[in-house]
Amino acid sequence: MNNPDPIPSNSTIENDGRRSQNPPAASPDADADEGPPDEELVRLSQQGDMAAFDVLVTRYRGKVYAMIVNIIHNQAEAWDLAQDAFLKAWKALPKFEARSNFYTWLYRITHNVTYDWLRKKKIQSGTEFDETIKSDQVVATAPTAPKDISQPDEDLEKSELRIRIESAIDQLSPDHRDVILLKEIQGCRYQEIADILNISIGTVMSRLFYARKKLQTMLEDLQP
Amino acid sequence: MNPQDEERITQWIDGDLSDADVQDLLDAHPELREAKSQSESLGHLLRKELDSGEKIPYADFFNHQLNKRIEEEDESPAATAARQEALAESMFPRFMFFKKLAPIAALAVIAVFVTLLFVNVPVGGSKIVSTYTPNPALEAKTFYSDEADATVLLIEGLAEIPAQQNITGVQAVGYTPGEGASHFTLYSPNNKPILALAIDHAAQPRLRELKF
Amino acid sequence: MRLPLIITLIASPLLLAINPASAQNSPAGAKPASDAKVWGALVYAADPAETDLPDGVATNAVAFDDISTRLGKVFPDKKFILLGEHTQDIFREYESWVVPSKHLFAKIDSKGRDPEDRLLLHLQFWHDEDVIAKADAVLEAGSPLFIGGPKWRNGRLILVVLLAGDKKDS
Repeated sequence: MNNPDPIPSNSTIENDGRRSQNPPAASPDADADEGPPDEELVRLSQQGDMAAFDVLVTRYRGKVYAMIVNIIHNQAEAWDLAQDAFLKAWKALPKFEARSNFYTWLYRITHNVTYDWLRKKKIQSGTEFDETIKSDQVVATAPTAPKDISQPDEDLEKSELRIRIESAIDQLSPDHRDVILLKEIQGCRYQEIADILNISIGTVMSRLFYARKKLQTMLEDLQP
Repeated sequence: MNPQDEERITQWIDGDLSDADVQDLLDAHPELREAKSQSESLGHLLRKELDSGEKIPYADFFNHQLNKRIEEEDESPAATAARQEALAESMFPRFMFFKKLAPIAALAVIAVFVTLLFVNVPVGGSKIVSTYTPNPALEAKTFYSDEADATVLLIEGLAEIPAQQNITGVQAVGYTPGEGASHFTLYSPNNKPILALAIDHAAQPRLRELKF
Repeated sequence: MRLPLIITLIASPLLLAINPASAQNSPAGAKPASDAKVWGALVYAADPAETDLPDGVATNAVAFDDISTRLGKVFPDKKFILLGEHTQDIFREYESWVVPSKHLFAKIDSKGRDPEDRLLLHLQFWHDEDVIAKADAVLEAGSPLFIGGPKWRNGRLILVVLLAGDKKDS
C-alpha cells in the first residue's frame, strides 16, 4: 500500500550528516498561535477529533495559502489548493508519526499538491517547450472557492514593486524559487526546507546561494 | 568557489556563522560583506512585498468548507483505523471468530513476520522506503526479491501503451548541469547531442530528440 | 545602476554556465560535486513467443546478461530487450535526470550516503508528461531497482536503476 505522500515522518532516511543540524524552529506565527501545541492537536486529530484538526487548520491556513499564492499567483486557485492540501493531510494523519514537525509535513504535502496541479494545468493548456506560466494564464474556475476572490483587476491592486518581484521569482528555476520562498518568506530553517523538498541541507544552502545571487541580479535596481 | 564555500557563505549571510567563522573567505573576497548587506536588503524587500500568510480570504468559510469535504469523504483517521481493523479481521476471520485465540493469532502473525524479515530481507541491499502516486488511480507496490537481489516497484493501473506506438530508447552518457540551469543536453557515447531536456516553471521536464 | 563586484565575480562563470552554448552542457565541461554514478535503462520484457521484436541496443556500461538473468527472477517467462540506457553522475547540489528514453525516465535528488555507503535518494518516475510515482529509496551498489511500468505490445516496459560501483559485503 502506498503512502499518501512521501513524507518525512514516514521516512527512515537520515540527513546526510555532513554538518550538525539546527534545532527545529518553533511553529511559525499564524492565526491560532494560542492553544494546545501542535503535537497534542495532531494526536487528537489522529483519533478523529475534527475540532482539534480545525484548530490546526486555523493555525496554518494562512501560511499554506500564502505559500501557494506565491507560486501560482492566483488567489482563487490557491484557496482551492489549500483546501486540497488540508484534506490530504487529514487523510494521511493516521500515518503521521510525529518524527517531524506537523507544519513541515504539511508544507511538503502543500508543495506536492501545488506542483502536481501546475503540471496538470500545464499539460491541459498544452503550453510549449520553453513557455512559463504567467499569472494571467491561470483562470479561476474552481468550483468551491468564493467567486469574488479573484477579480479581473486584481493585478492592478498589486503594487508595481510586488509585480516586479513576483516576475523575478518566476524567472528562477523551480528549485531556486522553492528555497527562496521557504527561507525568505516562510522563514523556514535549512533542515525544515530539506525535509519539505526532500533534499540534503547542503543542497538547500547551495540552491539558496545561487537563487539569491540570481535574484539580486534581476532586482539590482531596487536595492539601496 | 567550491560548494563548501558556497554553503558557508549562505550560513554566514543567514547569521548562522560569525565573521570569524568565515574569516578566510572574507580575506580572500572582501566584497562578500557588501553581498551580505545586499542579501539582507533583498530578504527585507521580499518579506515586505510578499505575503507570508497572515490572512486567507473567507477564513471561516475555509474551515467550514473543509469540514464539509472531510465529512463527505468520510475519511476520518478514526474511520480509517476502523477500516484497517475491519480489514485485519477479514484477513483472519476464523481466528477472530474465536476471540480467545486472538492472542495466539497475533503471536503467529508476529512469528511469520519475523521469520520473513530474517529469511527474505538482506542486511544490505537497495530498498524503497516510501512511495507516492500523484494519480490516485495508480498504485505502487514494492517488494524485495532475494533471488534477484533487486528491489521491485510495480506501478499498477497505468494505461497500456498501444502496440503500434513506437517506443525507443537512447544511449546517453552523463550531462553536466550548469548551476541551477534548466536546460541540459544529453550526448551519445561518441559525443553527438541526442536529447534536449528543459525543466520549465512548473518543474515539468520537456524532452526533445535532436537529429543530426 | 551599479553591479556589485561580488555578483560580477561569482555570476560571470554562472552566466557562462547557463548559456546553452557554453561548455557546461558538454561532457568535457567542469563538473560539480557528484555523489554517485547511476545507470538507468529502459527494458522491454517481451513474450518469448513474440515475433518482430523491437530493436535493442548493445551496452558496454554493465553486464546486461546479469541484469537480464535477475530480471528473469522477478518477471519470469519473459525475454528482456535493452531499448536504451543512460549513465549519469548524480550531483550533490542539483537534481539529476536519468533518461534512457524520452518515454520513461527518472529524476533523482541525492540526499547523500548512509554509514554503509548506500545512496539515499528521492526518485520520481516519469511516463511522458506525467510523474507516475515518487519514492524515497536507498540504493546499494550492485542491487538494482526494477520499476515495472506500463504494458506494451505483449509485454511490459521496465525501468532499471543501478548504482555503479562494487557491491559491499553484507
